[in-house]
Amino acid sequence: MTPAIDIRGLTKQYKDVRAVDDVTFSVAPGEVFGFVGHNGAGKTTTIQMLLGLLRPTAGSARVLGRDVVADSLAVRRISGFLPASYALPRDMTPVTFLAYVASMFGLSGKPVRNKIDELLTMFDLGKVAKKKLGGFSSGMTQKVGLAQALINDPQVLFLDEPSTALDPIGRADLMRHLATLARDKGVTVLFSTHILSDIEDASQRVAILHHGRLLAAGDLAELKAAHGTPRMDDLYLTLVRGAMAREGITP
Amino acid sequence: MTAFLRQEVRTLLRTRRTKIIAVVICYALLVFPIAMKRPPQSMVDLAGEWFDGDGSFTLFMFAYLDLSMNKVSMFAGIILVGGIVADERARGELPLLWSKPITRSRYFLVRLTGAVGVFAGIYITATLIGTVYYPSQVSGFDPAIYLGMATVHLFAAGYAVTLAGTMGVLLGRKIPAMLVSLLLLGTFVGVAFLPFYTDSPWLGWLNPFYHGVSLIGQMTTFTPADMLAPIAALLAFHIATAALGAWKVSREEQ
Amino acid sequence: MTTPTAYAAYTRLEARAALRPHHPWACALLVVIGIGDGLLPGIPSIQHFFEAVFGARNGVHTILINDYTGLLCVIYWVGVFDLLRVYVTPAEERRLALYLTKPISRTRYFVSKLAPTMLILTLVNVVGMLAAAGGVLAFAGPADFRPGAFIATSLMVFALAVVMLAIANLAFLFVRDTYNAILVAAAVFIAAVLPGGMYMYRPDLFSPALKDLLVFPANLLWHEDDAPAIAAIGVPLMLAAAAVLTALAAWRLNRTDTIKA
Repeated sequence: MTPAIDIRGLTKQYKDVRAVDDVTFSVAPGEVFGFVGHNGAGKTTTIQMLLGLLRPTAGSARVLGRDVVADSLAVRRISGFLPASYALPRDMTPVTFLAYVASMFGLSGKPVRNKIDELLTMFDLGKVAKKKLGGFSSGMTQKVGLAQALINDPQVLFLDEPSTALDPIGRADLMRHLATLARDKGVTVLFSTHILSDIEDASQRVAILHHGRLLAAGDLAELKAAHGTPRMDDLYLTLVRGAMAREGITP
Repeated sequence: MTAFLRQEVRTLLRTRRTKIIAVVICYALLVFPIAMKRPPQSMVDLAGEWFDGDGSFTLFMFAYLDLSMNKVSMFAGIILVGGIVADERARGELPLLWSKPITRSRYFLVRLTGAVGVFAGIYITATLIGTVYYPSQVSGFDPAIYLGMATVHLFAAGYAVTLAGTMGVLLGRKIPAMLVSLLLLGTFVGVAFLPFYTDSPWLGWLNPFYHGVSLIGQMTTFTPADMLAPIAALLAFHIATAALGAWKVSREEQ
Repeated sequence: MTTPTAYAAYTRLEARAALRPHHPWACALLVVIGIGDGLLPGIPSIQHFFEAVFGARNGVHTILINDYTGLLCVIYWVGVFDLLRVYVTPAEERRLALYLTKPISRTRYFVSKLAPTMLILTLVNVVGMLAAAGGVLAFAGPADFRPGAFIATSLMVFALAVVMLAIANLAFLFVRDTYNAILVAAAVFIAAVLPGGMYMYRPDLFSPALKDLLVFPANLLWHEDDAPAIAAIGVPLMLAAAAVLTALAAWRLNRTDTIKA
């Protein structure tokens, strides 16, 4: 089966900093894939390269068969993205903002209005649909952020630290939404996080990044078994400590 | 991308600043005849000396363009689009907006076009109100001349929007961009009539606002064909400036 | 522990941050204006215009009317964009709450930003005055130039700019973004210069007293002989008004509880 996301030797060099170093892994269609790493590990840089927002220094990547450099607009057309750090226009309401984002996909009219209604219901934003975004809490902002990522019915969803601003209920809801999207609509989800319990809840397969390098990628249960670690936390710590030992750093 | 342009126009029309600009332009237009009711003879004579035609209508058009529309459009441009891209970057909105299937240059051009369109809409509405209102207020008012001159001036006034929008991406930060736009536009507006005072048209060749008011030199004789040269010059200013902005924004990573 | 030295360091940092790349450019622009205005009396129709409309008595007056207008424009607008950094843009970019959670009073925050800005604007004004004087002496010669009146009048222009900035600064606390702040600043500016523009076309609307009070900047030249005396009263009065408006703004900032993080 052709992978939904196929990354080969992806590298990003900023002057003397190698943010992403020769990363290779793939994500199957319709799976929720966890992308794990500490802050600054290179998760955001990788996702931004996958969306054509940053140009790779070396390597290649394809999203549903489309090259992320040569065909980045096509990639973005079929993708949804929630950045790790962003703000929403304070003077817009959820409705006007979602219509605005839809228009950037060339979408307008009744289908968009229906889609907005569906998303507002999905994220329980109906009551604040016409309130200015400027007054929203971070949890509410994140819900609007998630809604905008789904406005185009994406086939691939990139979520960068999506659960960071959410309360426990919001996080549980998010995980439920991701599972539903993958199961019912066949959406491929790649979500980055450093909250390891989220990974265990949502993903069967993961990639673990450390200082720009891929430490491991594959089936979570197999990785745990291979390293003799019963939990995700233990697996992560084992891999990271091993990497630090190889680098000569004492944990 | 018409959906995005339509949405951009709609978004801009909803903002308070657009509504205030529309009100200010219409207010300036309506009270203007009061300011021009009894001009001193010395001003009438000077207008006749500098420009084409004699009498108070020439002075009216000079004051209309210089005192009113040039100044209003200078501020309107900056207030409408003084920080495209730079503003979104400062607010942290760019990571989200640029992940959509639209190139950065197109994003910039659509937003700029939307703003120019909104401003043009306000300007044209105001001009049409003037066409109906001024004949009863201004002695010797000629609607055809007024419409012709306003049509050409629209392209200069719109240039304030293009320049202010482009400066945001050229300088990258909103506050310096707005300040530089204001000083540049202020200079353009300040010396727009200098070629007439000095009888040296070349002094205005690089000044879009001179082209915008240039018909005042042939007020009583210009034909529709005479409008084409200044409009073509102004379109060239628009295209060159916007292209520079699009090129700059396309080179940015994030 | 908070010590006076810590605040001194903060004040120093704010002072350093107040000097922006646009200040040298503003100085350069004032030099260009000084030179450009110097050329104006050489254009007969322009000289005739200023004599007929604004009662300029000689070429120096024509130069100075334009210099004072330029000085007011540059000082005011550079000041406006400097003042936006105090409240409007930090609030807009959601940095203000972060700053104000630190152990400095809002008044200290306010003053630490305002004081160096005003100092820099004063220096820019001095450059503008030198450029204007240079332009007059180079192009019109010293015969009609009266240094005492020029200094007094330039200080009046500066004080007027400071009052206008103080009004704008107070109004900025009530707006939510840069665009609306510019709109407010433009309204203050237009209110100050509109009577001068209006006077060109409707001098009959102005009584002698109104004319002397409002027709900026020509009014400053009509009473050149009395300029030092007028400035001796007017400059402190205007600066006091600016101080009161600034205190009012600081009071307002202290009472604002709607700062968004």
